[in-house]
Amino acid sequence: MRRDELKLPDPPLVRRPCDAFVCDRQDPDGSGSSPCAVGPDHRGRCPLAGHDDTQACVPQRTWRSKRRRLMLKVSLALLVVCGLALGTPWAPRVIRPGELSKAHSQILSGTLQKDRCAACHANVSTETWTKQFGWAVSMASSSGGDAAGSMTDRCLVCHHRAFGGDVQARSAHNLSLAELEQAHQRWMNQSEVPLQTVSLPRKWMAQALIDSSNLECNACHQEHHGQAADLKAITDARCQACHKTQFHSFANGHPEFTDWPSVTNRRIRFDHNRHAKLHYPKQSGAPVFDCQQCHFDPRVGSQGEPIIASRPYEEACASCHDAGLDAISGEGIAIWQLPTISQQSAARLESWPPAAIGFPDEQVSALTSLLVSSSVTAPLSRKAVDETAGPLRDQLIQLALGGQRVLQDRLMSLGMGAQQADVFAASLPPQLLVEAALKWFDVREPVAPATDFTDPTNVLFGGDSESLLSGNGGELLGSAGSGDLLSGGTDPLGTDALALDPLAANPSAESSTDRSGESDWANQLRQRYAPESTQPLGGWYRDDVIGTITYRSSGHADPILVALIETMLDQRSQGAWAALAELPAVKACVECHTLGMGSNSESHLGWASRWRTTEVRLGVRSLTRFSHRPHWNISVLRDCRQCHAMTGEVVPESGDKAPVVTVEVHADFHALSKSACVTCHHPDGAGDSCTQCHQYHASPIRLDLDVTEVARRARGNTLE
Amino acid sequence: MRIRKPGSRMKGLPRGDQRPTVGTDTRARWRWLTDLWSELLTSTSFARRRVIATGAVLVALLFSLAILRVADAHLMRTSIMSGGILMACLVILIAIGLRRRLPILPLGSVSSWTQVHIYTGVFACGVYFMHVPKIIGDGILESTLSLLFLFVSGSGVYGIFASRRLPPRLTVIKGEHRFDQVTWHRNQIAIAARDVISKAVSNDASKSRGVLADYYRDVLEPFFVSGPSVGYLVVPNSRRRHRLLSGLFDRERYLDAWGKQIAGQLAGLVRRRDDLDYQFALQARLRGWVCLHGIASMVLLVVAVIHGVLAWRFGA
Repeated sequence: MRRDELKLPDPPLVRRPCDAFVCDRQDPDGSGSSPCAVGPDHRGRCPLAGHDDTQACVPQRTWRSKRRRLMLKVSLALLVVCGLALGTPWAPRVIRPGELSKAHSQILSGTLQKDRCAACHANVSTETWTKQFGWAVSMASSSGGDAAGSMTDRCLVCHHRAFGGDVQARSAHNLSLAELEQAHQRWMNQSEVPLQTVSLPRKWMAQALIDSSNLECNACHQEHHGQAADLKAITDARCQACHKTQFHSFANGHPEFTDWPSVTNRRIRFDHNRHAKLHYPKQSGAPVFDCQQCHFDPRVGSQGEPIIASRPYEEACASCHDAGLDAISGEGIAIWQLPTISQQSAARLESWPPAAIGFPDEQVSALTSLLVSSSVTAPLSRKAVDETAGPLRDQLIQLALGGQRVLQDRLMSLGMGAQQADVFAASLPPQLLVEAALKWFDVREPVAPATDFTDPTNVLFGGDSESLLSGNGGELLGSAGSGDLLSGGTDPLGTDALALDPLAANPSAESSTDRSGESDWANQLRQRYAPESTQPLGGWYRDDVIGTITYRSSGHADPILVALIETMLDQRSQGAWAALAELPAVKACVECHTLGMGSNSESHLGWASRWRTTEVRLGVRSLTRFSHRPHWNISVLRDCRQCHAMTGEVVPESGDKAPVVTVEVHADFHALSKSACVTCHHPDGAGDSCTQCHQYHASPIRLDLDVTEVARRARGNTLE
Repeated sequence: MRIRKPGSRMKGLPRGDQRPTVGTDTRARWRWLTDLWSELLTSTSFARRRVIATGAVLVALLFSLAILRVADAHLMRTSIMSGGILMACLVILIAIGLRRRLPILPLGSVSSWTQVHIYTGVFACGVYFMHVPKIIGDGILESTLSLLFLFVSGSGVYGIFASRRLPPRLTVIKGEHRFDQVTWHRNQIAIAARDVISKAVSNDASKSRGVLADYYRDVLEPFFVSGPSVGYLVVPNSRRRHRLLSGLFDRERYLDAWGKQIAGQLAGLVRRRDDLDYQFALQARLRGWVCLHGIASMVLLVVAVIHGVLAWRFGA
């Protein structure tokens, strides 16, 4: 003790250190003893109070007591807060673990807060949150699988369209077990490198813990992680959870590509090698064979897919192919054609144009036969042709009387789609049919004497329409500017033919020819109608010389031609298709728009399965996706040949060695190998996670669809 | 509490100067490492206990991480598993309070319970980071739970620091005062100071009585009568003590021998009062921490139970 320090009294002896109160006596005498022996009681009362108030003290709370009181207050406050938070309508807002994802929050933005939970959680009802402490009652009920269904059931209320039903939605990859096993076997068979087998414990756990036929949506998609959260985010390990064969990474263990790019959505048969090596060099100026010319979409933004299956015909193909298509479409397609029948047959009919009476044809054009009798069996006998003439006459008269509605019904009865039938019927002017019916079948019209059709000089009705249009037809009709046919003395229409043509010998024409002073235009109009010069854009016209109502196509993607082709393909008659396929305009369509090489003997069903006019994925539920966009940003990869190397082999256009361009295989390119991708796709580079190239949910096209059904579905979009 | 002086060697461990230097062959290095490890395992020192406990926590964390990763790879709800582990940890951590309240039961020493409490807390922190998608969760309930857990964890870390730093600072101060009797001691010091100054004033022969009376009335009396300021309780320091003692010593030149003796007694009371306040501040800090840690732990347990029930009900 220092010399200047005073002696202070010792503190009072505390006999009960755990008491709630302690004596507050100041002990003025410094003795250190308290006048009361027992100290304050548990309520904080001094024992001297009431006996000797002058000596009584005011007991003080001990720290222990203060702490207990604070704990009690906090507990009460916590109870109140929990009651307010969980037992009131604020409960959903309080217990919500986080914001929903952007899509879901937008969908539920119009609903009340209390209803939002019930939208996904089957064990919450709207009424639950409105009752005091209702949540506790809700807790007591079962936690799932109640009458309202599980959470996955509620997901499927909105998402059922994407998975093809509840069963498909819950199965792994939305595929059946048989499909999964089939895919696994295909991998095992295709893989040249033996796949790593999963270790026994992991395999056991996978089989024990995962029921791949009854997966819940929330096994992968975790909600309530904010609007910016990616619901589709998943680790590679989770991706392989159910897989029988697993591998370490894309570079190490992933199976080699065997047929990638395997499934494409191309719609034309295009031989890249032939175009690059033969066709392009022949063009004037020898343009460069540039992939981007046909496959780059210049209208795409900075985020869209820059590479498309092919640019439109008008942009990519028209510059070279338009001239050829115009030449082919010049002939037109005779939709209705009057056959030449015998005098006896004509006598049995109420009326028949005399020009179509003579040496009878042995067949009717396929389209006419189809429109009249709904079937085509070629070649027809003379008797059958005679029997067709009457219905044909009746049909034309009915069409002239009923107009577009009758034609529309007739086309739809033949199997043409409603939309296509509308377009077809709208394109044909009913007035054309009226005039044809009047001209051909009205008995009040003056009839010229019958012509001897056996006379070889009668070039008009001595042969069929094909012989007129082809062969010598070129000389007869030629082009509008050739001059021989329509002007000068060698014109058969101006001499023998028209002189004998009863259709040309109508009163008005006769009277007009008698007028010597009539202008030259009238004479020109009396000539045989020349669609080459007046209808270069296509359309319908009547040819009274050969008795046809003909359609001249308007070039590429002509809707009438497409409708005819697809209607014919849908018919279960080989003859109808075979007859149509012989037409040059149809040949030109089929040449590009059928994948794979067909033969003349191939059935129309085979052609139908290969006919493409729209970009569709057929018969394959793909688990793989690819985007050119991220690759397009790398300058080296803008050269498509970095990945898509052509074989360089030019094969004949037809025959057994023809290029196989089908839906599944692109034969004029080398297959893409995994090594080309591994260069960039590793963990330190562009990444190698499973979800970069694979999608868990298989695309929703069903595997069990018939190919013709798929083709029909594809064609349904043709005119859209 | 055992305090290890800085630079001292842990008991039983190989001496630092025995550490192989550069150029020592591999066999000697290996022998030194094996000796060090065997000493750690066989010695009974505090270091051995710490190494073993830390190793056990690390092994437990790695095992938990492995289990959770395997479960995650098999599409299991790992948040349920890690949440269950966290809940078990919380129960163990709360149990130390029960142990303190039930000293009569043979539940082991408080020291052992404290060690279990500390390392369970460390383990729970590791599991927490495996459990949560982000440090502070979204939503009112989950963010509250996150903040509570982080606060309790932080206060626990501070508790480890405080329980090792504050007791030595208390022991260097003379006197051991019960926390509940600090006010009594403070009053006794104030009474003693009043008696001293009364004695000085009553001495008519002394010429220095006016100087001391003025200084006591203006400076010392407010100091002795009132308690320490909040600032002093938060950061106890010696500035106030130096200021008061400097005032007394500055007035010594006006004091005679009697007055200097009185001033020395007042200076002694100032030192005792400052030491008392220093002890009070450190004890209040320790007790306040325990109180806050305990209350926050209780709230954490309640909120965690609510969270667990809701997660089990709506997330399963």
